[in-house]
Amino acid sequence: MMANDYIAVDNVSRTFTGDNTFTAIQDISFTMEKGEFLCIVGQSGCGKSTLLRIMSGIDPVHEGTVTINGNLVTKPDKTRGMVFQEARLLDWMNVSNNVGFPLQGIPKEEKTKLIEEYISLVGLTDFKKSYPRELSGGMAQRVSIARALVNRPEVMFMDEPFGALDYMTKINMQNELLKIREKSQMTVIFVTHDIDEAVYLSNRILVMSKNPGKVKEIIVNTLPFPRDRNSEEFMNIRKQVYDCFFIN
Amino acid sequence: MKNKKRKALSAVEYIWLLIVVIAVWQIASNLGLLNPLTLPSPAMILNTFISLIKKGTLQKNLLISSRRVLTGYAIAAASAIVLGILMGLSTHFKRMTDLIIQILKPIPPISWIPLVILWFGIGEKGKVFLIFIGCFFTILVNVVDGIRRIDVKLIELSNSMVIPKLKYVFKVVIPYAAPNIFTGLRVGLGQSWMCVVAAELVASSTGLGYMIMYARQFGQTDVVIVGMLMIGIIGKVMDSILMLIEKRVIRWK
Ligand SMILES: Nc1ncnc2c1ncn2[C@@H]1O[C@H](COP(=O)(O)OP(=O)(O)OP(=O)(O)O)[C@@H](O)[C@H]1O
Ligand SMILES: [Mg+2]
Repeated sequence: MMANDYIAVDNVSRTFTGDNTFTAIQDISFTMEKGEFLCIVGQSGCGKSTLLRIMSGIDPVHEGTVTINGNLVTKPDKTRGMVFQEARLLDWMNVSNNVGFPLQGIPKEEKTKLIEEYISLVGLTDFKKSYPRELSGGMAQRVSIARALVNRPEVMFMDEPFGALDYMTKINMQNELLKIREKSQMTVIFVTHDIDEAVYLSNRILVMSKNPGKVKEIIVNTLPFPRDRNSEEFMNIRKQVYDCFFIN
Repeated sequence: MKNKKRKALSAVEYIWLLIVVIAVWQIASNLGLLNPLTLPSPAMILNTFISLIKKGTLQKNLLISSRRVLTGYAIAAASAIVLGILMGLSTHFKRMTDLIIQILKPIPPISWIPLVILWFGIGEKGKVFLIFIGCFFTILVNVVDGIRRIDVKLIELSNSMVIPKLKYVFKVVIPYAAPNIFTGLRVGLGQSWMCVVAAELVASSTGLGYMIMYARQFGQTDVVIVGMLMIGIIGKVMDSILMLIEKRVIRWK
């Protein structure tokens, strides 16, 4: 581990014990700089969610170490945010209260302002009084994104956050995320199945292999922002990721 | 228009069987098929009902029984909810308390009567205690069950946001368990009415249970039935009120 690595994942493995023991991820090591946007791609079941849970501190049972800003990660922390693969909204709270749920020790006025700001950011201002049962899957997922952002985390873990969104909404949300990240210098670890999305958003793309989950390759993506999805350079990176998946 | 018709139909659906039963009963009585000493006709029962109201005995007994039931029930509900939440939240606490609760639970309330007389004498306390015993465990079991059922995904969510424990309990756990808590409260309320007769067996001179047992000694079957029906009706009314409260509280469903 180098002293200037903001995040260091060092030989992390996770074995689930039960009726049959199963090693989900094995010997995963990589480092990240502050403010970096890392996308993780890999087949279903290769351990992407498992890795995010370990890095965010939700799953303390693992081998190897994760350090963020020099501190060993052993439990969740307010400076880290998490968007789960499912929306996980609280059914008994309306959209506003769901988004405001993680906020603590903030004056009421400021709280209301923050909630409104992030609801509007995900385009749900008209639904702020709605209950989760009244929302579509994509809307619910956007509420959960606003809820994770409202605490203004330094490191954000996102597990397929745009998976349930239609193409247009997805592109809007991608652009909003890039804006927030530019403003806040937030470090992002973003799991996706969508190679285009990974190339559009990331500074680097970590490709995982399966059984057990390992780092197959880390592809560096230095395309300048804003990116053009149809440019030749974009296509080249896309092809690199593609080849990493399907060749060898 | 259509809506109104549907509502009327649904009301008919709800009450027709009761009306048929009463009608058949009355006709059978008129035909002399039923012995009025063992089963008086609905008309006779209605008469008795009216005269009992005129005398004021029915209201008085109803009020006294209701007070006993509601006191015992309120104490049971409050303590079962608090204890149930603690047991639901802490596996250790549940394990420490579970055995004694499982053993006490199957004991019929009526078998507590001798002890109740020894402990509380013949005053109000013993009656309230019997009603408490009669519904406490049902409420408790439902509360614990509801809280244990909490989705691990929501526990994880709260952990990941470092939500303080109290906020987690009040904003996540209790709302999640609310439907089960209400089920316990409703079943428990029914049971507390079931216990009122047993409670009023203990040297009582008031209450619906007393009224029933007293009338039995004098062969006043009509009064017995009026007392029984009164318990049934008040139990149903209270259950409906609880159901309305539940609907208001659990708006999100
Ligand atoms: N709690 C658990 N107990 C046992 N096995 C588990 C557990 N959680 C995950 N696994 C296993 O670990 C492997 C990786 O799961 P994980 O959820 O990390 O996959 P993923 O890459 O996120 O997949 P997807 O893209 O479908 O979300 C899977 O084979 C899964 O069966
Ligand atoms: Mg996953």
